[in-house]
Order: sequence, then structure tokens, then C-alpha cells
Amino acid sequence: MIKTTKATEGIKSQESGVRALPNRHLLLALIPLGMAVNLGVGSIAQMIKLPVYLDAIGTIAMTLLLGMRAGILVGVLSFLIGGLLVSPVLPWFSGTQAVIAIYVALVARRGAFKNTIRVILTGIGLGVVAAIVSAPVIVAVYGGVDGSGASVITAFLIASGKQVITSVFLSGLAVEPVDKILQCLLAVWLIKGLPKTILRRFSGGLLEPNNLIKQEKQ
Amino acid sequence: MLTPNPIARGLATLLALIGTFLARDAMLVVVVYLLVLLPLLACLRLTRTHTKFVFVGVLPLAVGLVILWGLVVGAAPGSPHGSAPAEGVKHAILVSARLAMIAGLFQLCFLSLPFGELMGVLAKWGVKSDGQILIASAFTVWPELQLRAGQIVTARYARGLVKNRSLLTTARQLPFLLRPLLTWALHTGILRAEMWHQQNLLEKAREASPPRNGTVLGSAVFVIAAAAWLAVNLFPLIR
Repeated sequence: MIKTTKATEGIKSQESGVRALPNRHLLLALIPLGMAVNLGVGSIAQMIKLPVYLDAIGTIAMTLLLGMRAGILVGVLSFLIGGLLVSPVLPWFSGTQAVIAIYVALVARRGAFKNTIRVILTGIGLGVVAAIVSAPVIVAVYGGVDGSGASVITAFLIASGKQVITSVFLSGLAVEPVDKILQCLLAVWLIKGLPKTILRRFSGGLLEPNNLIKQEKQ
Repeated sequence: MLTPNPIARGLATLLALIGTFLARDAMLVVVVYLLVLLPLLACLRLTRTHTKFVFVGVLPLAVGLVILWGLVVGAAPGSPHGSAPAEGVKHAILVSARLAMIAGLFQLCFLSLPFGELMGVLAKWGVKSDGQILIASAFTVWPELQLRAGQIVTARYARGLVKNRSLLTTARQLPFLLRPLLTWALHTGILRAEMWHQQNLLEKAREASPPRNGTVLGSAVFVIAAAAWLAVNLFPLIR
């Protein structure tokens, strides 16, 4: 059974504002849609050869809306199923997605998405974490060079005599923070642009500490 | 006649995946991919899906890997830079072939199933009902998202906001797709949750059609073939 979070415990129906939906239903309905957002945006970014991945926007947004467990499920399942439908590279990085959701949930509790400066700092931190988690996977699966944009930097570092794992980590540090800053900014921009009627259904979780929704007066 | 039962399907896929991951001989992986996996995919009418996936996902990656390992690094992992470009190319081919093979195995395992049987097979593998619903929804929601994204682009085109419908112009609509897509996703999720609750659909999903049992012969053939593939790749590592 999927455990629920504070965010989904406060869900109210649009008409009455009182009746609570069963949390399990909402989580089960929203997680696949979050996965679709992850894969949709990520594959468009890949298709037009953007120098960034943009494949965790759904994970970040769903973690902020629904909490850590839902964020982990969105990230991990989207990358596992994306391996069947979008790119064979994705499943290997499902662990990175889980770490992204955990990191976002932990920092969001302390208001890390409150303003633009904080979001940028969060993105930098997330980039460093993602680089650390992804580096061993890239070394184990591809031997260090995986054909992405960062691979060119890795290849040159290896060619200059650096160790493979160091090269992968350093090239990750060069690319990941930029990508993750952009993804965090986009996720916040997306949430802020949602209709209030929809946002109100996710009150009680990680949105209030980050000023993404105003706290309702009792 | 050669349909495996759900347990054999899962076991054969798992063994074949481990075998592929352990493979160190690029030529062997390419040969097995071309002579075993591709004909199997063709028999199950999955050639089109797989070919599209290979052309979009694997080939660009393979080209990048060959350039990087063969030309830039000029050696296989662990060897001095520029010492053996041919070994670097061989490594790039091995990685690409392994990825194509792994993708093909997953597609063979999941996409060959009639959609109505997916939940039954997942249940046989011990996946709980919530997990079954999540996985089944994930497969259906992807085409839904593509349709919705197409509708947004069409609406912009109709309003004269998009000049033409070329791939590049369509891709440039990404910033305009994000907000409507997330709003749609959340709105649909909320409506779907209410409907599931009202119609008690989650409980009804448990009574989904059970998977076909498959034949003993089919189950044995797939499991033995996968075990042989694992043994072939494991033996050189142990020796």
C-alpha cells in the first residue's frame, strides 16, 4: 500500500471544501501523470539536443506537491518505464531520481524553494548530489563515457590522464548544477502557474513552507 | 504454442538481462541480438516498436560512443589514452549492443503481453495491487500525454502562433507546453481519483483477467535459452 503524506491528507473536494478524497486514489492517479511529465519534457529536451537533461521536472514538482514517497515513485518508475519506451539509458539512473526526490523533500521542509536565490542554491546542491550518485553508474555501465553532452568533457579529462571516476565526477559537476538549477526554477514556475483551485488540494505539505501556496486562516 | 507462463517469462527475462549485463564479447552480443532477439521480436510483431526505439534511442548513442571511445579516448576503459583505438570502438559497440539487447528483452517481456493480462502477470510476480495499477497506468498515460501535447501544438498552430509543423518548430513549443501539461496532469489526476473512488475501480481491478498459463514447452524453451545465455557470459568471468 502507498503511504500518504501530509500533502494528501488535506485534500478537499472542490465543491464543498470539506469532503476528503481517499489519499490512495489520488496518489495512484497522479503518480503516472507525474511520470508522463518527466518523460515528456525529458524526451523533448533530448530530441532537440538541448545541452540539459530536464528529465526530473516531474519528480521535483510531484515531490513538492505530494511528498517524498510519491516523488521517489514518480522518478524511479518513470525512468524504468522510460527505458522501454523512450531511451535505453534511463533505467540505470533511476537511483539518481530517488535521491533527487529525497533531497528535494528534505530541503523543501526548510523552505528551500521560498525565493529565487534559495531555489538556485538548492539547484546547485541538487546538481552536486546528482553528480555524486550518477558517477558510479556511468563508470559501471558505460566505462565512463556515456555519449551525453558531459561525455566530451569526461573524454578529455580521461585523455589528460585523470582517473575515470574522477573525470566522470568532475564533468558531472560541470553540467549537473546548471541542469538542476534550471529544473528547480522550472518546477517552481510551473507550480506557481497552477490554478489556485488545483493548488489548494495539495495544502498541508511542502507547498506552505516554500510560499508556493498561502496558508489558509482558520 | 511457445507462450511461457508468467513465472517463466519473468525468470527468463531476469536471467537474460544478467547474462547481457555480464557479456564482454561485443561480437557475441551482436550475433545473439541479430539472430535470436530480432526474429523473436518479429514473431511477436514488435519489430516496428523496437526499430523506432533503436533508431531514436540507441543509434545516436552508439555513434557518440564510437567517436568518444574510438577517436577521443582512443582506448578501452583501463587502458592508456590512445593505445588501442580499435579496442575503444569495440567497447563502444559492446555498450551499445548491450543497451539494444536489454531494451529488446524488456520489450519482449512486457510489450508482447496483451494489455489486459499485464496486471495478472504482475500479480503472479508478487507485485501488490497498488503497484500493478501504477505500472499499468504508466503504460497508458504515455500515449495520452503525447495526444495532449499534440493538441496544444495544434491549438497554437490554429491561432497562427506556430509558423509551420516541422519537427524543429514543434519542438520549440516546449516552453508553451509545460504549464498546460502539468495543469492537465493534475486536473486529470484529481478527476480520475474521484471517479476511481466513486466507482470503486481499484477493488474491481483486482479481479482483472488472469494471465494465460502458457505451455510447459514454451516456458522450458525460454528459461533454458536464457540460462544458457547467462552461462555463456558467466563462464569466462569465473575462469
